Amino acid sequence: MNYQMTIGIEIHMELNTKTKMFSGAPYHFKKEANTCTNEVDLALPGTLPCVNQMAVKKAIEACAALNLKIDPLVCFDRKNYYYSDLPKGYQITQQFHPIGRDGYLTIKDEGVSKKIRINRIHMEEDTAKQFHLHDETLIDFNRAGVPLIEIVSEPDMHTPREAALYVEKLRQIMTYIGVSDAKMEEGSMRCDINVSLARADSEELGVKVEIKNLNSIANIETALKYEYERQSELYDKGETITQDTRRFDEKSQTTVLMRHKEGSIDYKYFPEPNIFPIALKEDYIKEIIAKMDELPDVKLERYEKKMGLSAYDANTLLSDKELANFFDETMKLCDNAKLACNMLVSEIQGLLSKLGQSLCESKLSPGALAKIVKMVDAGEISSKQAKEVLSAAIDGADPSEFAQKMGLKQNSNEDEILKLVLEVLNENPQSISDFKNGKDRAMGYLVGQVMKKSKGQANPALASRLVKEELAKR
Amino acid sequence: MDKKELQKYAHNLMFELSNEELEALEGDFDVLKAQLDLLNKVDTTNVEPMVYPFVLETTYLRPDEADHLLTQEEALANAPQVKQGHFVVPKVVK
Repeated sequence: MNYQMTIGIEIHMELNTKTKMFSGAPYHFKKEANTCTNEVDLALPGTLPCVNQMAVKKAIEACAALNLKIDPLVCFDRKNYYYSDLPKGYQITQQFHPIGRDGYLTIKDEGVSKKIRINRIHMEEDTAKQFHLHDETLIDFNRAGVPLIEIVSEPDMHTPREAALYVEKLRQIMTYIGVSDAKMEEGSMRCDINVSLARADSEELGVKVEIKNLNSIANIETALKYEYERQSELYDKGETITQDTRRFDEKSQTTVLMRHKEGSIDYKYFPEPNIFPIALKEDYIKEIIAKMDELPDVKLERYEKKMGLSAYDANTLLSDKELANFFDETMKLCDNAKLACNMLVSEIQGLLSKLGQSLCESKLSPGALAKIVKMVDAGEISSKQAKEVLSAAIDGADPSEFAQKMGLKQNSNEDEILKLVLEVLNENPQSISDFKNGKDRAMGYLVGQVMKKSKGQANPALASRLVKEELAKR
Repeated sequence: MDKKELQKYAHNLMFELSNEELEALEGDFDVLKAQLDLLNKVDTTNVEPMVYPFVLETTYLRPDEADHLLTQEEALANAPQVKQGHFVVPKVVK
């Protein structure tokens, strides 16, 4: 039997601020345990929360990027639950007045666009990290209080692929606008998925199953494909689905039961008495939005429509924010987008991978790349020579100085090259008669001789044209 | 508030109450309830509910600058049990 899958996704994203949501303690991922806390994070008596301006700014940016309506009155609420990852006994969140409501993002699958609606984005604080050992639990409060946004989608996705595309798109947007590192493997982006199956002809949704512990986009797709198989088999057998929380098991590539849902917990939400509502001025919100980094979709359009890059090239640049930024910086200093892009995505990436370096680790600057692009554009060096110059520039050399020092320059002086062409032709009568007898290869040989005579400096296109012209005369 | 209810709330918060404690709390809650009943007699027709004792609109947001940080030793100073720089608590998950 065929079933319709319905998927909704909740994503927690750590905002990459310097300090925590409600305290001035600085936070860095991978610091030694309990070295990024202060009294507020540990909920020591007499402490009061104080809202981080940067966290609010980044939450606004996230809302704007995903087309949500922003609530200018920032209010917080308490979510009460008793667990050791939360020293206060409650989490400060935005239950009643989320900072943003009713947005969407657009996913694209093989050229077909689809809008996925976003119900809300709210701000909250992260909890401590716990390590469950054999008979005890260790707690590291470094992560306690780190600013989070929770992004809640509407149940608008119906295939594992759509779910994966949605998460990938969110990750891309958030990293581009710089609000989060969004690294699933490091937990700065965490994903909970609600999925249900119903007969394709049914109006009602099936029983909701929640999947946790999805630490990569590939796993999202795998887990959902598995859930479809598992649940449809149960339905086919006439069995019922229980409202479970399951987790993805990396080893078996399946989902396993964590717990049955036993009634919903009453979190006894109420407005946070220690934080008065904060009124954001309209101008303040407008200014934040106006100064936001370019969204990836806008960048893509600019690359394709204004710069004339192919969809493939534009997407390659876009797949890596560092690469796209480097390209943008380069294009401020030169004009030939296609050439700059080619050098970046093929030659430079090739050279870097040989060296085991990333673009930002290397000494190559956008200025140097722009210089090389201009040198090739002006015919000063050939594209073959450009590779040598690029290689040197990656080591930090100045392109024009290096080219000069190594005698790398392209000779485009027609008179000088013609002289060489005539010399070569006079020295190789056999090749000329070969050519006349239909051996096209002979021409390539002759051009090669011209290049050799010029010590590699002759403009190959020019040399080729002149050889052809002179051959025709003989 | 009867003993059964008190016991339920105590369990929600993961602790046990002795019989004497339950007795004492039951008495306390009777007093509390009588006082709350007094408040219920106040006529609140046309009065908007308030969350804060006074209406005060704030605009202050804390700049994202590191200010106060505890050392690991300070952070762990009150912990009854410490292991490898971590707080140690009884394991509550299976």
